[in-house]
Amino acid sequence: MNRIAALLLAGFLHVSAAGYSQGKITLSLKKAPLQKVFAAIEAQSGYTVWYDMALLKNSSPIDIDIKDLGLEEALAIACKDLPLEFSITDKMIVIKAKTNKAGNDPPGKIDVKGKVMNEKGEPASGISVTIKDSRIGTMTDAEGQFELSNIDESSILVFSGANIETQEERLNRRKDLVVVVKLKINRLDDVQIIGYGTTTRKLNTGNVSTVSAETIQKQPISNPLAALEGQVPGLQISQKSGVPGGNFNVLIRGQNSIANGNNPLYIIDGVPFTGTSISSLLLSTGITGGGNPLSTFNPSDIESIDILKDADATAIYGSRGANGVILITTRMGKAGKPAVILNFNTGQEKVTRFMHLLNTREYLQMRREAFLNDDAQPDPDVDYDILTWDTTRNTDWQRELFGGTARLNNIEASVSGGNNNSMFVLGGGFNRETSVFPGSFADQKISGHFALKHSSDNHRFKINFSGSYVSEINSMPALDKTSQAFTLPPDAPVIYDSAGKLNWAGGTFNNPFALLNSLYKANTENLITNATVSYQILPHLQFRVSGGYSRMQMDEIQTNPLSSLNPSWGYTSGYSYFSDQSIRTWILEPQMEYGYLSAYGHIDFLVGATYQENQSAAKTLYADGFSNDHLIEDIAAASSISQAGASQSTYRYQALFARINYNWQEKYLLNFTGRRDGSSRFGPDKQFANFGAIGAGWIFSKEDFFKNNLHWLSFGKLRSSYGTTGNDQIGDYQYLDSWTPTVYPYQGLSGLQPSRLFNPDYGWEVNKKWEIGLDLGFINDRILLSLGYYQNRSSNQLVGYPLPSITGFSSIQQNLPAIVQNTGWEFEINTSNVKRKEFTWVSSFNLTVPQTQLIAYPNLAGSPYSHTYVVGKSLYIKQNFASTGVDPQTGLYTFKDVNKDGIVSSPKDYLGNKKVAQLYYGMLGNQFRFKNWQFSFDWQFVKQTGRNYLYSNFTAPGMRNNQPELTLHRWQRPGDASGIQKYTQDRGGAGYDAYYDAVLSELTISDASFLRLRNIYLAYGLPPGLLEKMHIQKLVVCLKGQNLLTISHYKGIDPENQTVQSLPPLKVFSAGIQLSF
Amino acid sequence: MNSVIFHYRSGSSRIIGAMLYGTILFSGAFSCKKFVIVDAPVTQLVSANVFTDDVTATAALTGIYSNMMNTSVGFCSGAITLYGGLSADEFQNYSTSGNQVEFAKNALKAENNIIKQMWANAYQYIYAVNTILENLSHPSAVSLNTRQELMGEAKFIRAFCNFYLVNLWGQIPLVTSSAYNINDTLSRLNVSQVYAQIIKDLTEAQQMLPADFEAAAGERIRPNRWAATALLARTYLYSGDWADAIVQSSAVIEQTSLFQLNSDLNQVFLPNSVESIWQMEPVTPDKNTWEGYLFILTNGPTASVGQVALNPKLIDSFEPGDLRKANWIGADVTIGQTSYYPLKYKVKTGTPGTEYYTVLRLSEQYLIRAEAEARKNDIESAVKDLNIIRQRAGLPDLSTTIDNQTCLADIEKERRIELFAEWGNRWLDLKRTGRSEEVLSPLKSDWQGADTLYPIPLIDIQNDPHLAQNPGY
Repeated sequence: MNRIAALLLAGFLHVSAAGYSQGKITLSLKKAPLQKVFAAIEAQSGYTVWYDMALLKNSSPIDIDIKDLGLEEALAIACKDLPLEFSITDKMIVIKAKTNKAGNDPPGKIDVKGKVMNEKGEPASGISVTIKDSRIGTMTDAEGQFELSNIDESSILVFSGANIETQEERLNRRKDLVVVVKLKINRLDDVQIIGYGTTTRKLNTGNVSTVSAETIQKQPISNPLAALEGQVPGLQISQKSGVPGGNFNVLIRGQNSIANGNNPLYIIDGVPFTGTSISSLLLSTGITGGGNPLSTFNPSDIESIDILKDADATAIYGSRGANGVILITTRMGKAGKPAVILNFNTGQEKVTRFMHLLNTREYLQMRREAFLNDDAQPDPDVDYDILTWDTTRNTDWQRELFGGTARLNNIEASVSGGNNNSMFVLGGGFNRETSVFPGSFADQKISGHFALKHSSDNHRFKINFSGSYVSEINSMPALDKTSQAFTLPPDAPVIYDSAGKLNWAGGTFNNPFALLNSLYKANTENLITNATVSYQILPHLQFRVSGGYSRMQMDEIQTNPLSSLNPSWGYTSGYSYFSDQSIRTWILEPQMEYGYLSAYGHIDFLVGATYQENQSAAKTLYADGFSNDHLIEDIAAASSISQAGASQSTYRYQALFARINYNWQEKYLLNFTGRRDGSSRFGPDKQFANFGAIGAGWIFSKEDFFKNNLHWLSFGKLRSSYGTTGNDQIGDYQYLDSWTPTVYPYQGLSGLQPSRLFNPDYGWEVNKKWEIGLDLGFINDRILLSLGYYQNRSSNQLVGYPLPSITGFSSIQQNLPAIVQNTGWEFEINTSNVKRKEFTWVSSFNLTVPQTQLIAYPNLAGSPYSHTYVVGKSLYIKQNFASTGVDPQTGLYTFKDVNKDGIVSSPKDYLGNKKVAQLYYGMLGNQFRFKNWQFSFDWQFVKQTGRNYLYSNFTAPGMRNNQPELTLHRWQRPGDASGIQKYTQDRGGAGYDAYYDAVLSELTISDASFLRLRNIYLAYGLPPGLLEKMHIQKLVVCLKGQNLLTISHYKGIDPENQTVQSLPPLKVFSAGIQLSF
Repeated sequence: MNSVIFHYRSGSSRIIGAMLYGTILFSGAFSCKKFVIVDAPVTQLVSANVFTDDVTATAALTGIYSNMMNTSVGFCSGAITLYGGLSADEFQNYSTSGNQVEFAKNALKAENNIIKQMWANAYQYIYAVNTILENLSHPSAVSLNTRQELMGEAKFIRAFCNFYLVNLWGQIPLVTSSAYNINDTLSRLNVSQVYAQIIKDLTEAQQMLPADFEAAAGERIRPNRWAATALLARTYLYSGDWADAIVQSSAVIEQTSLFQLNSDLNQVFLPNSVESIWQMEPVTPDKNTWEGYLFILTNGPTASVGQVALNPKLIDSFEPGDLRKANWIGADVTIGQTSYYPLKYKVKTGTPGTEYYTVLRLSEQYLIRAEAEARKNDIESAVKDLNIIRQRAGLPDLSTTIDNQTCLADIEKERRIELFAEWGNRWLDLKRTGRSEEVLSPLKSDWQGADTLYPIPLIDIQNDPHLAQNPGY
């Protein structure tokens, strides 16, 4: 710990030692030098004593004899006869010369040098130093030093900055001073990571939400996206599948693009990260829904996730910022003695609920009634479920196929430490998650993370280097058989015959357990590295280069051994797909930053450039003719191998960007951002475009009027921003007129086929964002409230414009003259309800009311979207048949004949009177701390409409498929009033037609709102006394739960993923121990 | 420590800074244009480089055949046989998949996925053809011979696709260029206009294509002049131009050095059989013909891939002693139930190449000529041609003195038997002769007159506002 030459603590001269309660000071020394006395006090109190060596040099040794005194009294006694005074703040005691209050001499002019540091002794750079009531001022440099010449010797200096408490310091003729500033602890002062810099909630002109490591670590999740669900207003995340490594839907402030790329931009430590999985869809769609790339990133390596939403925050990302930006910052070491942290978690996962389906008795009744209704007889070739199978059997296939319990195990260790110049963190982890499917499937991850930080002694040269690596082996069944669990008749035969072999029941039973022999295996290696080198050229001018490299490599296998194939299909050997994909990204971003404090305020300039290249490659091979099923994962054992697809692409991106940030006395804030972007995804002459934004903030609580009249208002900021961002999320080379090799050769020659319809003339999709927000703090910021309204208009829509197939393709890349508008209200409140020493209670609540509308679409009627959208209506309306109920006479669904031509036909009779959308959503969270106990829980709520079970998978009730129990309320005889039509088994009959019209009707849309106990966390930390005895710093035992309770009237299995085709999100329960020493 | 405070005013740092700064701006401003221009990926070939030599230009054309054969039950790989057969009276359906049932019951919906796929396949091939024709229409490094041949084949493929399109859907949009911004608003043309285009394409193809099989080194896997002639004969027959049908079919039949009827029925569908006029080479691993894969039964029709069996009525209509019944029909007995299936192709799965997919063969040319002759009331010639086919099947000759009506009925029956489970011939015959109502309505409870035409896929109706739907959908 550095001892400081001279030390003063301004603004906190009269601090009481109320916070000091542990232990008492006992001292008995004769003729002791003051240094020795202070060292003893340091040792006993655990507090650091700061003083000026020069100050003590001339003091004579003292006698002291005290017993069991409080710190303040002890210090008072030590200093009683000396020209010294002291102050105590947090864990620090500052000894300084007694203030000279006389000051009778006439004020003279002096030159002042000084150094500003924070409580940890680290230099505080970028702090503005001004002379009170004047326009004179400067800023501290990288070493925290400043200089002011020719100023009044009795001036009062004001120190202020983004993340420190503003404090004042009277000069009193001193020419050299060291000032310790206090870091802000208020939530308003939480650091927020923004594009190419940091700011605080207080001073941010844009809209950024920060999710801390603490929030993430409280959740038993393996994909960081799962931890964000519900946490952030304006961020819609839903899990598409509960399979480990499964996919997510992520939308920031709604859907901007009609048909293309609504993924936010992901940046991990400055390196862009792919938003979509590189996985081969041919192999992975069936089980992980394509997968999600963030599942190959270890959530425990994360320090914070910042979600950038408005123009002010996202415009610096130009063409990539239209859908918002998710910045992930990984952990960095801290100065101090090495800290070792060990983490262990173990848990279980299960599906949240099962659907109520017909049992065998009800099922057979349905089938027989269907034959009766149709006046038909069962056909032994087709209707074996009632004629051949053992109808006394009753199996709940949901329990058989996904009713298992998945195990979750996670162990992690990390070491961190360093000194003021160098810091490091090293960590590693192992994570294993099995599945709820029968059989031994598991997703296994090994991860490593490191970060190094070094600065030269004078802090002008700095280097940061970090990297993370994950190796994942996801071994799952090749197909998610969830949908089969709903439709398989409950009387289906036994899974294994008496010989223990899969039972195909003479070809009548498409045995779902064959999937256990069919495997999907994905090996993923993910490396992300980043380095930043910076040099302070001039006191306020910094040059920085940040570079990053990331590489993801994925090898996938999908096997279909002979034992998994229905023997009737005539296969003589099994077959497999082998696929490998990779994406490499490098990025280089030179930047120059200049901070300047003038009489007119604090101004900060940033200029930089970006060079980025993504190289991706993929190929898939098909292999068959394996002599034995055991060799099916070995491509060398195949007798024939053929390629089933290959691609390679390069994406290059280049940009120049600039930002000017202006801050006048933390009262008026202005922020300009501009970016010129070029992307290789566009054709010649369409590659470049300009984007920019302006953001302004007014911290009105700093105005005298509010200060003097509204004492309960501790903070008030009004902010607004407007700007443009772009979207280039389309495939590469869409402008290129090219040919691609066909999958197989013909006549011994590899064939060629046109790659696409090409259009060299499309340009960027432009998103104009406007936002106004009000941030308020009440009662010393114990209540923080934030209200925002946004309006985003996305125009020049880049779409794969659907074409009739007579053009040879189904779409072409084009700019569409349509405007999609996303508007919404976002509301967030954080309250500190109880703030006692032993007990604290903190609540948070957020609410988003979004709306997505199609504002304009010239010639919609003549376009391919004429039967999809309606100008002026929600983008989420669904054009469907309008139901007119079940005809009480015929027992069939009937629909409105909109054009009155006598028949109900699609799309002519479609009406867009229902939508599938979220009306509002949010979360209510509570955190309690009582002594060493911590307890928190979050309730997520979503008010929405969704597609119900009728939309997919099931067939008309009465056919050879099981049905939800609610179909029992079907029409039975003339005169019945029912919402469900009569049973039928006649494919092609009137009932069949009516049922498929129902699938195209508004009947598939119903309420899918839910209230979900998203997270629950209970932790107990061992008391300090015990920890000391055990020589450890921290030991926390915790229980974590996710998705434990869902309240919903949704007609289907889960209102979050709204499909019966894939496994719903699971409920997770885990227990863990965290140990650090 | 205080001593280090203001050491930053070093001149050299400032200069270095300014230089670095200048470097960024310079590189940013001047190299960015080049930086974001990327080469075509190694997996793609820009159009300009495709038509620069004979081999690459040929690959562009053979790519179409490769795609035709690699499409799972697609427009040119079994779909017309299977679904055409279901629409007619060739197959019994055992599938519970809605898409397939709709064919069997003649209760198609415009959103039927199979309809959508077949339609899209055809226009995909037509797009490739049009692009090739446009690229080859001006002189290039491609040799004149190859250009001629490729353009001839391209026109043939376009005619071939249009032929099935017009027969399955009726009026269709005629796509003759690759310009999507014209094609996306096309409307449907009269059947006669479509036939005129088919005849034009085929006549031109006849001029351009060689009369031998040298394009594929003797293999019959690329259409030549006689393929164009054979299809032209069929086109004339379908459009009622009897005289030209006779001229064209005779032209093929007279090429006895190239084409003869296989005396052994089991050799007709083998690679380069002497009867074949045009065959396609299977490309998909572990598959030969999609027909073999779909139809061959080993464990009853329900558990099979195609989930169909031959209609017992078809089996019954074979005359006793018909060798085709013995050689081209298989029987499967599962759980006491006998099901019959087409056995023209005898390989279900296995390394490709044991059998080729026969598209045009000589015996149809005899039947075409026979029918055209009968229509022109030349019964004697008609029966003579018919008897050639009957003799090969081991059946007695028909009398040449039968009346016109009997003769036409005999030809219909002979076509039904000879060409069963081949390219939907039965379905097309019933439709073009106006017999579908009479034959199918007693068999199918939901039969309606409008069922003779398939619906235009819903997606196309939605995406091209000028496309009208067929009546009844």
